Amino acid sequence: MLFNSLEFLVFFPVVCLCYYVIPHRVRYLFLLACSYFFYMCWNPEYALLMLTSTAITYASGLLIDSAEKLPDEKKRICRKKWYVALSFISNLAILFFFKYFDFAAATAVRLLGIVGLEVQPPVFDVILPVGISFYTFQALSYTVDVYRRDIYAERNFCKYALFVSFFPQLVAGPIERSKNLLVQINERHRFEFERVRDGLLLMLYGFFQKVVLAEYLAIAVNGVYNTYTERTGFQLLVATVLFAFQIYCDFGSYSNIAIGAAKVMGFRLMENFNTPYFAVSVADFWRRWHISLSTWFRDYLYIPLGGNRKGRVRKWFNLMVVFLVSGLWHGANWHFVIWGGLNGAYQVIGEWLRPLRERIMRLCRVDRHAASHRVLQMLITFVLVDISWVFFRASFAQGVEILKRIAGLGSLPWFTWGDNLAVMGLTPQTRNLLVLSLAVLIFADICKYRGIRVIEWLTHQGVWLRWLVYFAGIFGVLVFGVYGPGYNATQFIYFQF
Amino acid sequence: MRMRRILGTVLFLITGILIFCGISEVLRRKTAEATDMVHSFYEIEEDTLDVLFLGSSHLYYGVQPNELWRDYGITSYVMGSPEQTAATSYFLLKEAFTRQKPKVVVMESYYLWNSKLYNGEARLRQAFDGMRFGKTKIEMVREMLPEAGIKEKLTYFLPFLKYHSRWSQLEDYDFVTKPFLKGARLDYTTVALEDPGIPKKSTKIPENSMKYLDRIIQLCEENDAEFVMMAIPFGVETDNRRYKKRQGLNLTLEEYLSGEGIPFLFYQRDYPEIINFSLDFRDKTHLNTYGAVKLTRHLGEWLTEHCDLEGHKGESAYASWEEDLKQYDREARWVMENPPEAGA
Repeated sequence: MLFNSLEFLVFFPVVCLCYYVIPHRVRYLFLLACSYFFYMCWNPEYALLMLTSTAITYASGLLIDSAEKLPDEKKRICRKKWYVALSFISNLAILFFFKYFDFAAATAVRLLGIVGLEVQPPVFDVILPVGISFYTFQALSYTVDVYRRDIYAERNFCKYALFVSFFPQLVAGPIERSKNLLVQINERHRFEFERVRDGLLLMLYGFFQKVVLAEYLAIAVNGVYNTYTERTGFQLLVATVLFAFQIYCDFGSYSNIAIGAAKVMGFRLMENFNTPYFAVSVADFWRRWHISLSTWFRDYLYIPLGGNRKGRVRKWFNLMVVFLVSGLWHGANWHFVIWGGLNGAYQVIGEWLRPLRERIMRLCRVDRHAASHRVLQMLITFVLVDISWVFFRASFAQGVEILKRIAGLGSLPWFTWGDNLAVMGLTPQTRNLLVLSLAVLIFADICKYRGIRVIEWLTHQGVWLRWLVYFAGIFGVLVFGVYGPGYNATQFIYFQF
Repeated sequence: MRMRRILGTVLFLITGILIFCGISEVLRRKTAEATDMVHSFYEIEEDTLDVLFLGSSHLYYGVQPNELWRDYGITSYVMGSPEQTAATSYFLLKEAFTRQKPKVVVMESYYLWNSKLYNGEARLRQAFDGMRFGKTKIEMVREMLPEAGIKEKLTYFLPFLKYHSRWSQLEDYDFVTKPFLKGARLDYTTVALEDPGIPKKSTKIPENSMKYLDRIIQLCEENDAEFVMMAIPFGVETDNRRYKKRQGLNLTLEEYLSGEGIPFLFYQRDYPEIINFSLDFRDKTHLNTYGAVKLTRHLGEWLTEHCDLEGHKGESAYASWEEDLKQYDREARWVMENPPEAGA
């Protein structure tokens, strides 16, 4: 079930209504049933896969907990490590088979082909289970958290199963931690008007990001990228900048709807996107972009690899590993790996050049705190990140060609006075709508960046302004959104990851 | 505080629904632009209608209710829609009977040739988007779209779902419709034709058309309305064979109707003096308003003579009809002075 579907529009209010009506002690069972229903609307069989991951990690928690009672410390640690390893190996094996097998087989065939060996790999006709990367990571974090004694081992299987399958964040995050979400399942959530209202407003903003912004941006970007060989450098540049916003709106919208939906029911999910394009460095960008994933990699991969405790070179190596794996997590394709690698490389090179950069700043007497300097930093970060997005959107060869054209090295002139709008699949009306919507997005992000809580501010205003904004939001999304019959609701990009 | 919240939420929801209805109405694709046929029907005061017309484009180009009012004081409405099949006419009539008690129902025969329940999604929508939600609409959706999924069915009850993306294509008539036209269209374009004559060979009426025609006859009986059929003249659109096939259908129809005791006005054959083929057509198959006025005058005469209809001129309850006639005259003048561009 997609968030931007009629089904969800019926499903969600019904679930919320029932949730507050039924007694507290059975609520988790009800939510569990709803979550599995939500998942099974897409493919009933694959719910078994999620159940398997749930069972494995649930058992790992109990086993690690039982190992805690062993008197011999060495034996205890060894046993616990074994259980963690078993949980990781089995879960990652499932993930590998369903997501990476074809990719790995194709890569192996190519490599063997180079040395002259021809092999025919077995073909498995499997489709990628929706959200598998998300719930696998969420479940794995539980194993480690129990191992680290950050969380108790949950004994109630259904409560644990709900933690893994909680429908708002099941298929596209945020990837929650057990120490945040699992403990909330026991909380008694009452219907609080303000909280429900704030949750709904956040969902509304998420829908605006998805069905208005992301969808129209997708039209514009696809219009250019799908025919990039016929496009001028200027058109490709505009499309590339727009893609940065498209992917932000796509991912951000899902998180906002998820956080909002959870909030309506009384759950607090972690923030996932915090004004990412206001980042002043690539490292800063990754502290603001898909935070739940970045922190997952930090806590469960970067730190176990040694983090920054084992010297500079080792740190750089760890960084590169994290970003290459992160690239692969986003999709079973080399261009994702390149995208990840580029983001890692930016940070490694940035750190390597730090002494030089500081020297230049001293020589030029740059005030680090000056607004102009920050704007320049943001701009450079955006350019670097946006260059990497090209490889997220296109294959390596295509990406290189697109960048060449943007740099003015293509065969076509860089700019022509043609109908650039029509090329992007936009009409003057949709262009105006897009500009206005982007202005709303940027305004909202500026407010957030400056610590102004727009929703809080709004709820303190007079009724006429509140209602005006609410209705403008609701009907803006309903009228201007891209959805409904004749339109195949494009799946959220994050679904396939 | 709690009470205030509940009241506030209820008020918010009501306001929201009202705004939704308003926006939905603006965005709905209007049938025949400002004429907005089926939808404008609801603007007539209840139980004031004498005659209801049913039929396809031949009808809404061929009859002008305002002329019936001008000359005879008869109130009438053209419940037309493009390519209106018998099944479509049946449901529109059923809906019409929930608001009006017309003494006479006149159905135009041309589109009986089509054997389908409806001729494509667009035609179905053009007939039913303007219909209000209710029993008839539910029945219509169930019967006309037996295979459709629940989501598709929903779009007929909430046309907004289908039309929300029209925001970038809105026209003046989306905001202001012209109910005073009573479902008819004005068009003074003139195309000279020749009367192809009436074929000798009759053509079979498709099963679906017959089935719903019978249901229409029965519905009229149940509602004490006299049922009349008519065939408005038309020329050769593409080829002679097709023309003969469609015109031949009227011969079969005539035979059938005479058996049922239902009057049939076969204009092209029985009243050839009324329509001048070189002056009264807007294209190869539709009358222009000059032709429509002539045909309507004859129809008025026939109706007053045969159907026991009395005029309502001067009655205070019908004052709006006089007002609408003035608007219609203004509009007709404007249309005459501003002909549509060639090819439009």
